Amino acid sequence: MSIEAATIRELFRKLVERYPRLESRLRDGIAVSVNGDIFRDDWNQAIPEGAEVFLLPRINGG
Amino acid sequence: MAFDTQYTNQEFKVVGKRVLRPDGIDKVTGRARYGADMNAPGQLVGRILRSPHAHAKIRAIDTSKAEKLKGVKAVVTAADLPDLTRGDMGMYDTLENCMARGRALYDGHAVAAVAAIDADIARKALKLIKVDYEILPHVTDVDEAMKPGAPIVQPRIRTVGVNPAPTKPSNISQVSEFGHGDLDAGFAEADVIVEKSYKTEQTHQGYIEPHACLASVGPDGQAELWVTTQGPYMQRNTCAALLGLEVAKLRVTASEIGGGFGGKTHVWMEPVALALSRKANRPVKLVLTREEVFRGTGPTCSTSMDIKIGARRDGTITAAQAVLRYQDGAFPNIWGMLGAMTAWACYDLKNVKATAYDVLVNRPKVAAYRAPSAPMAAFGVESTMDLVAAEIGMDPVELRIKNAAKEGTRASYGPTYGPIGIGPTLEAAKNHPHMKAPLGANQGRGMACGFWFNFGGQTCVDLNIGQDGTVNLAVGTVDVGGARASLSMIAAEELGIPYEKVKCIVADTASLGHNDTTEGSRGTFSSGMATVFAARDAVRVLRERAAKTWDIPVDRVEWRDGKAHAFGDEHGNLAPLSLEELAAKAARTGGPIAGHNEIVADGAGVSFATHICDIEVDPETGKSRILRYTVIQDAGKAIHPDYVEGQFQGAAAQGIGWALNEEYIYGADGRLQNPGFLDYRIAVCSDLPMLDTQILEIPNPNHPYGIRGVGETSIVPPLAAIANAMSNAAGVRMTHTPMSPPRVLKAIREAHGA
Amino acid sequence: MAAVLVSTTVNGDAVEYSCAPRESLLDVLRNRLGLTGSKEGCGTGDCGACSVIVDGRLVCACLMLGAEMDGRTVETVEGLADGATLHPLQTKFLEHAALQCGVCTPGFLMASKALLARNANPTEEEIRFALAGNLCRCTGYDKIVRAVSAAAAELAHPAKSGTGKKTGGKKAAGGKATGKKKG
Repeated sequence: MSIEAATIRELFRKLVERYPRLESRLRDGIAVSVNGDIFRDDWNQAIPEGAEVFLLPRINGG
Repeated sequence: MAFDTQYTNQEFKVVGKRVLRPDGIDKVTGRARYGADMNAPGQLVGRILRSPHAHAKIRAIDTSKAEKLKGVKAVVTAADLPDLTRGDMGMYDTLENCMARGRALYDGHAVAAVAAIDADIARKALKLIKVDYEILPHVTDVDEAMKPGAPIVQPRIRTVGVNPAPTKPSNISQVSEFGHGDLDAGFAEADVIVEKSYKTEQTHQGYIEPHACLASVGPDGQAELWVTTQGPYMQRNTCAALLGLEVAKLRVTASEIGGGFGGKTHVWMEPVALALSRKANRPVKLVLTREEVFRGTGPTCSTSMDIKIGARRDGTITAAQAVLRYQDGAFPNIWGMLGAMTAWACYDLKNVKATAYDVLVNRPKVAAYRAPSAPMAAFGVESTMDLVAAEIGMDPVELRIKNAAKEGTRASYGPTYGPIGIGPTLEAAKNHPHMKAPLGANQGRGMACGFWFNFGGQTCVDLNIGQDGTVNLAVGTVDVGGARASLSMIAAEELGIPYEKVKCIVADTASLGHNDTTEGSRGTFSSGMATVFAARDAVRVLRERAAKTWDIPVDRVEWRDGKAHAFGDEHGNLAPLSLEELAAKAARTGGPIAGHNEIVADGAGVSFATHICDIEVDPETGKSRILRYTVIQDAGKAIHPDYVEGQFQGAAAQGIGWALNEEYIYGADGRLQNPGFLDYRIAVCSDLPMLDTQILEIPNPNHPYGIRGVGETSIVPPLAAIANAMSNAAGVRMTHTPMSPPRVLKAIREAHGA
Repeated sequence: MAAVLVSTTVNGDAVEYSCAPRESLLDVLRNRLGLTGSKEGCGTGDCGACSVIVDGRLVCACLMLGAEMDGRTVETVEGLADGATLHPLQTKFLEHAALQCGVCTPGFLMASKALLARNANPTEEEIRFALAGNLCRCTGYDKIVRAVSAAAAELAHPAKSGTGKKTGGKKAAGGKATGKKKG
């Protein structure tokens, strides 16, 4: 799908407007991949024009 | 203030050198203080009573006799740790894992604890505690646990991720799926299809230092915790929540850490130590025995999986499928899902799917273990890759090069890759002299690839300049293997001063803001990034102070080689001011000089490795010996090459132990049979050859120095690299780790019809 | 049970202590003498983290009793350096980055000292088998073997190899260590 958003925060806000049931998933923790780079926490992260964004589970390492 | 995280190519003066580590002398003289090396006035000895049953209802616990024993100062059970988790199931599971609540879920589950004036009395007190168990049926095998009618480990669990949502309890806590394309169409296009099932047994991180802590809780709610951990802030937040303490009043100090590898990213007995201290109103030192470490703290998953690859004769993989079954121990987790995300990450695949089942069994709660979940999936995938190569008559390296992911590849777990290093590691392997070295009788060579994500996360750093111009760097990520050296080097580089002028410490939780746990290979990546920015923040202050000293505009001052230089026609003749000079006069130019940084260090960048292994297998006994081993991995930028090599070598050695010897062995009674280093055999010095390393540096575009995490990826390839080598050495395809002598001998005899 | 009074020598100093009859040497060193450099990794003699030298012989301190030490000589990692001058093993462990977490290091140093005392010029294989009772989970042993080999060379020819950083030193040591001498 295509969404207009300048940051991850704005993206999440618009996603929840469209799909209210996503809210609890976002609250539980989710990672976002912007053009292949994974962001786990920083919702201020800018999303460049035409960027590919993927929602991923928030995962941990050793 | 914001700083640019983009990578810029620069000439380094300090970074990249092999300096001596600042904590080295303490560690070779016995002065370094680990978890068990701290004492407090009036401290008591804590000990934990553990369930001997794999699954049982706890009808009652009678502690009255233990309490009456002279010298016993506190006995705690779940009743002393009331449930304050308010519906947070993850936190509730942590609480229940610390101390059983009406049921024991695995052999080794803590059921009660005592604090006494000495170890002898504490031991005696444990024997006086009477637990009334009602033994329940148990299950410890992942495939058995998935069968209908298997004993249910957690009645509350309904499988997540299936439609329609189930109404009955199941041991499958979650089903997850990753991939893209059309599998059926892809397999239809294939000239050959190879399908194989694999199993890996459960292994433990095996850190040499057992868990240990010293807890002290006062009646006013102020508390201190000295603990060996990868996450002092995680300890603080979790323990405070479970005990109802205020976060700011629980001060956690991370001791020197004697290995963690993921196993020290969780709380285990620390809340119990705090509860004992609170009840006894005295400090309590609680040190686990090795047996307790094996029985009661998180190993990694055992797994079972089916891998299917379809390929054309030219080597193009047309479809790839993995079905993974990972056991998470007695509490739900996402380890299977993580296996599914990593399974196919090395390759550029049009049609790919990975399905994971997270499964509950009566074993300890699984914890992260170095690139958690990736080594098992890679064992299946990379072994099957070699089978495909043999089937179509292609060189295994060429097959991987042909299908390797590259910049622009859509990863099997979703996103599109930026610049990545799988291709370069494969090319380096292809051209490595190791690949051409001759082999003797009963010897074989194998190779395999591995992938890991790497993480960043919340980080902050304080950099303070002393009056003589020396620098204190306070970080909040734990130094698991030389990070203080690397971070000091980065600070020295930015400030333009010698490495020896920087002293880096790991701060306690009251002295520095929150830092995420040192996990996911994030220590040097994220604290390195924060150190760069904190130093640049300090340089900004230094330039301001020089400008004030000279009474010129700050934009006429630049920082170069550890000195402020005025520039421009009017000011060019001013003698530069050094860091020492500016520090000495700080009081009269505005006070202490410092730099700080608080960031979420994201964009850690994924990491790849390729390993080559030569092995000799004795056909008479099934015993194998690693003859030569080479690790090739992308480090982004190696800040301190010695410790990058050390990470590669250590990860490979753990993978080798996993591949050849290590396994949790459970009896029919559900009890762990080998909770000690004699019977749980990690790789020893005489098992291994020198471990050759080749560091590739493909800069991470999201870090100013190009750093990628390096700690985990190289535990991923060894299982398959060794299985592939063994196949070439002995003509048997091993599908079950560990590939221990009895299993290998059995396979050889079956293959030769003996 | 009554405590046992013990007179012994630890790292060259005369020491007296009383301990319980069942108390291990390791517990005595750590809890009574404050010598926490020796570590408890297993308590069953499997990991070598508590390696110390008693009367010239390498032992696991967790497998001996404090009460057995009367009249004997105990060497621990705390006594390895000569004042501010590190033992060549300590220097080479640092120079070769032969430690990561460092918790096994005291045991490795003592085991290496015992090895070099009986074999001044060990091959790689001899080093590997001599240190097989000491577990390290961080390093993969590669840099440890190189460090011990370099320390042996340093002890044999102190003037030649010097204490400088490992430019040529590491290569020479590594070359020797990887040599295929049969032990």
